[in-house]
Amino acid sequence: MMHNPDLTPPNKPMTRFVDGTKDCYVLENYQRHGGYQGFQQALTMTASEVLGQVKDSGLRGRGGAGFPTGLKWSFMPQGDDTPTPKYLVVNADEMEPGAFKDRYLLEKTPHQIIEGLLIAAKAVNADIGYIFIRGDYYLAIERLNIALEECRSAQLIGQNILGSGFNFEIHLHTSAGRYICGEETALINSLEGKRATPRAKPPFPQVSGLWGKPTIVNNVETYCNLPHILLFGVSWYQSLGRHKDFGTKLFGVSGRVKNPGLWELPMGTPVREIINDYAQGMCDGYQLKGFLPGGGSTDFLLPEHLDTPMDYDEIGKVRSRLGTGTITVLDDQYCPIKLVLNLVKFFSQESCGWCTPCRDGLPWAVSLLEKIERGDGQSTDIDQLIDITQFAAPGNTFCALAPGAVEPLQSALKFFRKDFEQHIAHKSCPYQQEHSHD
Amino acid sequence: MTKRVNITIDGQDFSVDSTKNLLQTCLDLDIDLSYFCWHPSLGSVGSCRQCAVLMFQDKEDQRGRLTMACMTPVSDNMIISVDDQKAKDFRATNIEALMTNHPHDCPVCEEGGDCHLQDMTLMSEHITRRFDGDKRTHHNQNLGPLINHEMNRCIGCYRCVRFYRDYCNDDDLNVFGSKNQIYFGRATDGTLESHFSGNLTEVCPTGVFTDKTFSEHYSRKWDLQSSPTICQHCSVGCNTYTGAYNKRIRRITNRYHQQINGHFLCDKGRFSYQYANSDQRTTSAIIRDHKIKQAKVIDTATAQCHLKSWIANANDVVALGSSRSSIENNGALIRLIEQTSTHHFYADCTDHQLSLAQHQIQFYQQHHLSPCSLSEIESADCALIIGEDVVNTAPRIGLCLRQMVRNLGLAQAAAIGIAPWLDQAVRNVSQNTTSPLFVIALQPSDLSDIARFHTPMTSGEQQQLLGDIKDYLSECNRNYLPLAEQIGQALLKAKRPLIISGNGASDLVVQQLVQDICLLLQAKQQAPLIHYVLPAANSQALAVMSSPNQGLDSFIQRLSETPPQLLLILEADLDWLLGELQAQHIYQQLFETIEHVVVIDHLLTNTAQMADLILPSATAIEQQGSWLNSQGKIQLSQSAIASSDNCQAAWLWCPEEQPLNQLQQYQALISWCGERFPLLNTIGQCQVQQTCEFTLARQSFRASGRTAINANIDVKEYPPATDPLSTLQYTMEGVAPFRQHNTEIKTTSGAYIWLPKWNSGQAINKQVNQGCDSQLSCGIFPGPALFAAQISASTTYPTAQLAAYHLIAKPAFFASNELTHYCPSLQQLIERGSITFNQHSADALAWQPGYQCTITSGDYQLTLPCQVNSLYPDNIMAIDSQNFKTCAGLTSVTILLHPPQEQSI
Amino acid sequence: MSNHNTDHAPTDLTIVVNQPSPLTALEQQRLTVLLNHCVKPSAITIDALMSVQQTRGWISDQTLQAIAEFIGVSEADLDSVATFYNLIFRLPVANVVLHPCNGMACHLMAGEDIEHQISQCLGIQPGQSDENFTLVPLPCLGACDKAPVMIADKILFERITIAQVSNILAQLTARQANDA
Repeated sequence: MMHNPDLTPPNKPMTRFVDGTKDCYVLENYQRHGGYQGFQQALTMTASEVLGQVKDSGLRGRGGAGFPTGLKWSFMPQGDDTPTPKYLVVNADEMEPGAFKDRYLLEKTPHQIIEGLLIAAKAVNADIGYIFIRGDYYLAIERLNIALEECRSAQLIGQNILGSGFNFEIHLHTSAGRYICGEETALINSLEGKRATPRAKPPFPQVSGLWGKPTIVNNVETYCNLPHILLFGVSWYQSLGRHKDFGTKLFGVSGRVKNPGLWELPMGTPVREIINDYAQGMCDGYQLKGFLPGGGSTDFLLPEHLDTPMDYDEIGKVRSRLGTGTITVLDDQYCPIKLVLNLVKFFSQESCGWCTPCRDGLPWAVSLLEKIERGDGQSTDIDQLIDITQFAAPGNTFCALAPGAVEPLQSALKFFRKDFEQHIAHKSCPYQQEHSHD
Repeated sequence: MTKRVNITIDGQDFSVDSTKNLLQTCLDLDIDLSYFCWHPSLGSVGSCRQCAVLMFQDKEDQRGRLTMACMTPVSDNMIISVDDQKAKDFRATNIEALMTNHPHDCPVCEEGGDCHLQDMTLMSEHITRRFDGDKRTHHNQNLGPLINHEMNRCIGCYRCVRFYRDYCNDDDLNVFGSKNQIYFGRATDGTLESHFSGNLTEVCPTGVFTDKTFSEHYSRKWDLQSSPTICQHCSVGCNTYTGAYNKRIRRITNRYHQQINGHFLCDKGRFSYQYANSDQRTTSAIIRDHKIKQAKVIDTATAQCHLKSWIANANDVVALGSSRSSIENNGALIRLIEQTSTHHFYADCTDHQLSLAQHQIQFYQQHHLSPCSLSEIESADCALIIGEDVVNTAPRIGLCLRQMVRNLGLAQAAAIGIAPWLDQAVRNVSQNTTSPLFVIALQPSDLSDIARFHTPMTSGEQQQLLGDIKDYLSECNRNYLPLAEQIGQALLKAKRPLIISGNGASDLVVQQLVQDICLLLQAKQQAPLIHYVLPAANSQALAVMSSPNQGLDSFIQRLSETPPQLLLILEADLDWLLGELQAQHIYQQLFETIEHVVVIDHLLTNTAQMADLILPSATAIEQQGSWLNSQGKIQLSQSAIASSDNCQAAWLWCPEEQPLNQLQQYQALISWCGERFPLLNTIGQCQVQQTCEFTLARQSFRASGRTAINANIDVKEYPPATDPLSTLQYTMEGVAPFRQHNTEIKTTSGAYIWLPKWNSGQAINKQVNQGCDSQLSCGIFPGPALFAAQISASTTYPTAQLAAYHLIAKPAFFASNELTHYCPSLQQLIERGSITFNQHSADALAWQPGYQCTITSGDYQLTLPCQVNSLYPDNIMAIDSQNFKTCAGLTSVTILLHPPQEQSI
Repeated sequence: MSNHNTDHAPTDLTIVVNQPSPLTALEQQRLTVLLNHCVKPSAITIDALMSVQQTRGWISDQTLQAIAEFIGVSEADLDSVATFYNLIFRLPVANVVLHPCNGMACHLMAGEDIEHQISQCLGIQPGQSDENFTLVPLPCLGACDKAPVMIADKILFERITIAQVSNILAQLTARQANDA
C-alpha cells in the first residue's frame, strides 16, 4: 500500500498522535493519523531496502550514545546459515536521572513503538521482539499490553502478518529495577533471568546476544522514528534537522524553570530556545548557573554554552554529551556539590558490582563529596576526586556507567571549583538550605 | 604448531604465540604484570581491571590508551607498554580502590605471606591509603569443616563463583547483592557441597576462603617445610605439595602438572592428611604375647631381630601387600619373603578385581596401547564412560569430563572468532551445547547433568548395548539398539573419542567388550583415548607385582587351608578390606593357626591390634616412594618430614642382608624392583640425581625458629635432619626451587612454589609454559607407559545376592576412602551407610518413608537407612561400598524393612 | 551519614513475618504459565519472584525456597538474582510501599522535603515501616518535568507539595481499605 496522499509530511511526526483525545493511544486513533502505513510500506520492500533506507536517513540512536542506527543493524549477520531466532529488543528501561521522554512515548503512543519494532524486524529479518520496560511504569505497561492485544487481533503481530508471509512475535517484559538494565548487554542478561551485569564487547550483541543469538537493542525513541522515515522518506527526514543531525527529537527541561516539560523539536535546536522559549526561562528569583544537556551522566555546561545546538557533535565539541536530550537546569540557589553528590551517590548505588573503578571508586567519591558537603572537607579531597574521575574514564571500566557517573563530577570540579573551595574553606555549605537533613 | 606474531613491549620485541591473551603472554615472558580475575583455567572476564597496560595504535601514537591485557588478543606489530606511568598510576589507583574496603588484617589472616593481594599491592606500588571513610563489613558463614569464610577481605574478583559454578558446575555457592556490597557465599550456612571446594583456598586471591584444617595448626608459608608429593587417595595420582612444620603435616596444596591435575585437586586429596597426625598412629614397635595377654614396647633393633629370626625360622610365609603403599614397600616385602622356600604374596583387592586389572594391563601390552592423560581427557570431543563412577572414584577425572563436554561449544565460539579464553563470551554463545558424553553404568550418575545418556542399566543390558556398539563399529549388518547406533555414530564422527572404564565395571564380559570397542576404533584410525580407573593409588602397581589369582579371596583360602608359619601384612586393615564380619573370622579362627603375625602400618588398625608384632611405618607423605597411576606413569613422592628412627618407611623394616647405608639400600631395592618386574624397569629413571653437588631446599630462606624450635629439649642447635635418598634436604640451606634452572637441576620438582614478588601460589602462572627448562620443574618425569606379563583372566561376575536382589556397591566420595576415616575434619562429611533401591522394589518390600532395612545372616545383623531412587533398575540394591564388603560374602540372608528402631543408649 | 537506599535495617517492624511457605494454587498456576513459555527454568527467575511478590508483598526465605523448588533452580541461584534487583523485597514490607523520588531533578525541586515530611507524618525512616506503609525512596522515576514525584500503589503522584502529603497518605490508606 502506498503513501496516503492525504497525509502531508508532518513537522512533529512522533507527537502528532497525541491529539488531545482521551484514548489517543488506541489502535484506531493511531491508524487515523497514518499509523502502520510505514510498516505496510516496509512490507513491500526487501529487508536490505528497508535497512538501506534507515541507513540513508542518518538516524542516530536516541538512547544516549548516538550511534548510527542503520550501521548498528548492518552488523547483524544475515543469510540462511546464520543462527536463529534473531532478536530485537526495545530498551524501555528509562532510568537516567533527568530523563522522562520514553515514558511519554510509552504511555501515549505505544503503537508507534510497535510499528517501529516491526519495521526494524523486517529490516534485519528478526523473529522475536522484546519490549523491556521498567516495572514501575505501570500505566505504560497497561497500555502496551492493550496495544499488543489490539495488534494480535489485527494480525499485525504473529504469523503471516497482514498476509505477507512475514512472522514476528512480540513479548513484553517488565524489569525489577536497577539502572544498569539500561545498558544493552546487561539488559540481555536480565532477559535471560540473570543478574544484570554487562557483557564484554566484542562479541557484539548483533553476533552473540540473547541466548547467544544475533540481537539488536535500540531505544524507544529510536524505534519511534522509523515509521515516519519509511512513510515520508529520507529527504523529508533530513529536512527536519537544523544542524548536522536529522529528524526530530523529544527535548525536555526539568528544574527551576517556569514550564518544565517535553517538546518534539528539530535536531539542532539551540539550548537557549528550549530553555527560554519552550520552558519559559528560569523561575522568578532564580538564575541559571549551569545545565546538564542530556541526563545525569552528561557533563555540566554553563550559560555561555546556551547557544550550542542540541546536536550530537556540537554538544560534543563543548565537551559534553547530547545523551537523552532532556535538560536539567541547575539554579544559582542549589548547591552544586549537593547536586553532584546526589548524582554520584545514585550511580554508586546502581553499580552492578562487577568492575573495580565503578564498584569501589564511586563510593569513594561519594564519601569525599559527603565530607565536603557537611564541612569536613580538605583540599586534598579535591585532588582525590580528580584522580577518581580519571580513574573511571571511558575505557578504564567494564561499561559506561562509571564514566557517565564522573561526567557531572569532573565538569563540576572544572566549572564550580570555587564552590568546592568555599565549602572547604568555610567548613560549611554556603547555600542556605531551609531543610537540612544531614 | 601455533602461529606466532611479533609484538613490542616497552621497546622490546618478542615473537609470541598468537592464541594467547596479552596478560598470559606477558607472564610467559617473565614480565611482572598484576592481575586478579584472570586464571589460566578459568579464562579472562575483565572485571578487576588490574592488568591495565597502555596500547599504542602505531609508532607515531604517543598517547596510547589503556586496555585490559587479559581481554586483549595479541596481534602482529602490536605495541604496548606495561611500565608507562599512566598504566602504573592506573593499576595503583585500582588497588587503592580495592583496598578502600579491605580490613588490612594481614597479621591475623591465614593468607598473609601466601597472598596474591599482598603481592599485587606491592607490585602496584600503592602504599599510602587516602580513603578515610567507613568500610563495608559482612557477616561470615559457616561453610563446613573444611573452609573458613571471612568476607570482609573480599575484593570482588568473582573467581570463586566462576570456579565453583562455571568450572565445577556446582550451584550452592553464588554471589548475592550488588554494588560494593556483593557477597559470596551460600544461600544459608552449611557445608559447601562441591567436592572441589578446597580449591577455593587457592583460587581466592585473598583470605576470604582459607583452609580450615590448616587453621587448626597454622603456620606461615615461609616457615613451612614442603615437599613434592603424590596424592595417595585414588589411582589418578595428582601432584601435590605437602607442607609440614615442626614434624607435623600441616597442609596439602596443588602442585601443577599439565597432564594430570592442572591447577586443581579434589577435596579428598587436599584434606585427607590428618591421619598422619592422628593419635592412632603407631609410634613404636610392640610385641604381643596373646597367651598371657601382654604387650610390650620394644626398640627398633629388637623388633628387627624378632622379624629376622621369624623369617629365618619359617619355611612358609604369606604376605599381604598394600595398594596404599609405595612400590618400594611392596617390593621390599616380596623380596623378603622370597627368601623362604614356600611363600605367597597377595594383593589387597579381590581376586576378581586383580584379574580385571591384570587383564587390562595385558590388553595395553598386547596392542601397544597406552592410557591417556587427564589433559587428553579434557581434549576429547566424544566420551563413553562404562561402569566406573569416576565422580567418586577418580574425582579429578570427573572434573576433566565437565571441561571436555564444553569442547563443542568452544568450537562453535571459535568459528565466529571468539577465543577460548574469552570465557563469558564462549559460554554465552555456546549456551547448553555439549559434546556427546554417554554413561553406561549400574548406578545413577553424578554426570547426568552433562550426559546425553545416563540411565542405569543392568549388567545384561550393558552387555547387550556394548555388544551392539561393537557390532555397529564392525559394520555387521543387523538391527542395533537405537542407542547403540547413536553412540557408535558419535564415536565415529569424533576426532578424539574417549573411552573410560575401570575396576568398577566389575564384569569381565563388559571389560572385554570395552576393549574390543577400543580396538575397533583404533583400526578405523580414530586413535581413541583410553583410560581405566583403578580402586586405589597403587592398585596398578600391585597388579603388576602380583601373580594371577592372588587376591583377597585366595588369601583367605590360603590361610584357611594351609596356614603359614609367618604372616606379614603391609599397611592393610582387614576390617576395611573385607568388612567387619570376615575380619573377625580371620582374627578369631585363622590368626590362631598362624605362628607369627606381623603387621607393618602407620595406624593402629584392628588388624594391627591383632598382630604379634607391630612395626610402625612412616606414612606415604613422610617417606620417599614411587607410585604407579592409572595412566601408567611412575611418579616419585618425596618425604615432607624426616621419619624418626622408630617410625621408618616400611621397606626399611625389610632390609637386605648386607650392611649398606640407606641410600645404597634404596638404590639396590629400586634396582631389584626393576629387574624382578620388567614392567617397572624404568623406575630408576624417576629417582633424583644423587650425584649433584647442590642440595635443594625444602624450606624457604625465611624459615624461622630453627634454633629455638628444639629449645624445650636442648639448648644447643640441632643439625637439620638429613634425607639420604634425595637432593631435597630438610633445610633452607640449599638451592631455592626458583633457582633450580640456574643450577641445571631440572630433574626434580622443587619443594614449593615461590618467585620473587610472587609469594602466593599464583607464581605458577609465570612458569607454567616454560617447559622442562623452567625455573620450577612442573611435575616430575613422566614414566613411560609400561605393560607386560601374560595374564589369564578367568573369573566370573560376582553375583552377591540378597534374597532375589543383586547387591552392588555404591561408591561415595569420602566414605570409600580408607584414610579419610582417620581425619577428624572429614568425620562429619563421611557419607553414612545406606541401602538404595527403586520404587518397584520398595513396593515389593512394603517400604514406607522412614523405614530402615535390616540384613540378617546367622548372628550377624546390619541395620541401615533406606533410600528410594527410581533411576536404579529393578532387582538391584545398592549399598555403600564399605558395607558391601561384608554383605557380599554373606550366605542365607534375610532382609526386612521396618519402622525405625529406637536408638540404643 | 548512612546511605538511605542501602540502609535496609528496619527497626520498627510491625509486619507479621510468619507467612505460609508452600505456594498457593494461584501462585503455582502463574509459575506454571511462566515455565511453559520459557527457554529454561533459570530464564524466569525474575518473573517468578515478581509474580509471587504480587500476592505476598515480599519474598521471605521460605518463599524463596518454595519458588526455587517449584521452578527447579537452586536456592542460591534464585537468591543471587533476588538480591540484585531493587524492586524485589527480601525483607517484609507493608501493604503500600512509598517510593518518593530522590533523584536529582526532584531534589532540585525540594523533593527531600517531601521525603522528610512523609517521615515525620508516619514516624519512620527510609527502609522502615509502620502498619500501612514502607518507605523506600527510589531515584529517578522518569517524570522529572513534574517534580517532585512519588510512586505508590501503582499511582504516580506529581508535583507534590508538603501540604499534600498527609492527604496522599490518607488517600492511599483508603484505597487499601477498599480493596480489603
